[in-house]
Amino acid sequence: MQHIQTVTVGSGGAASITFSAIPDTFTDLVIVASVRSNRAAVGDDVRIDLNTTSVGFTSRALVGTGSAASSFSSDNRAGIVSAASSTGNTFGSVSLYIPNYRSLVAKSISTDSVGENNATAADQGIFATLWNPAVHAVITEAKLYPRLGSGWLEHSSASLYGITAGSDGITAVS
Amino acid sequence: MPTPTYVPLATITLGATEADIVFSSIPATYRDLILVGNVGTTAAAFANGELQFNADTGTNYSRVQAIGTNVNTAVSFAAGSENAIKAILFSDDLVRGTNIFQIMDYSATDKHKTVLLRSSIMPSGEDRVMMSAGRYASNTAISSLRVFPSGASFSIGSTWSLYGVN
Repeated sequence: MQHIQTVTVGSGGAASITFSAIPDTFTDLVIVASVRSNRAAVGDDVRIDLNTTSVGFTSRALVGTGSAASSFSSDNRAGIVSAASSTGNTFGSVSLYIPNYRSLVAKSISTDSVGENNATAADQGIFATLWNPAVHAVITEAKLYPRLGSGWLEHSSASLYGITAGSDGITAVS
Repeated sequence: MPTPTYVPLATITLGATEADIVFSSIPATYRDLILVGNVGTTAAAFANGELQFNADTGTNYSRVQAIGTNVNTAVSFAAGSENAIKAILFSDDLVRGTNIFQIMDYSATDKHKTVLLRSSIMPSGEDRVMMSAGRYASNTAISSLRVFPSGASFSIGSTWSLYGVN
């Protein structure tokens, strides 16, 4: 796994975290984020745009709230994280795996996430997200932003990694 | 020097439909294995999947799983003494899903093997997201693994990649 880029939100916050000019030299992408939405609530959802668009997304989530579990479908949601009313200095964690980001077919995203909160109400969610636009393309840009808040708070950060598949010359596959 | 992660061991992109995929001669060099699939199957909607180790078809596997279903329900169940870890979902042929399996301490000879599995599939009207854990009740180091859909085959263009993690 190779580190590509890290973005850290500075003073005043930021509407989104964007990775652009993603190199086309890897097999898969991994985005790991530690973020806190400015929404005046305990939690918020993460939205992802790919190649500057939010069109063509569907998702399925399994979420636990500390008292119940549920499942729902949505659009370009890809995670659930902490927001401004959660425990202070606490950020949600998200890990998104995007296999075969250079393929010219629909893209699948697998996400694990949690909205940390020192209380009985804290959200954890896994998401399956599909990007299936009318015209498929190599992923060159990924943007993460809150669904209900207007931006990420200071000290939020995200890192982009690339993974390259290959052979060690020993392991066989058939 | 940083410890390498996700060391590529083997990868395959299917040029024809396949009933199963087998990784063998896996070196006992790493701590964990990670198997990543971007997979479709010939199933009409979705397919259940199975994972076996070391060609062991005995009742040496168990699982627990939680699923977010296509009808907005959250379900969970477990099973033991099965002949494979049967806690996998594969998508249909139209949109490939993502399957990620983390096999902990695979080369250890003093413990049973545990696996964390994630399945993210979005076939139209049959979307599901699942997290699972499985156990292979054997102290033998894992040197091969077999993954396959039940009652279907992997589609052309599906990919499987195996990585070692130190």
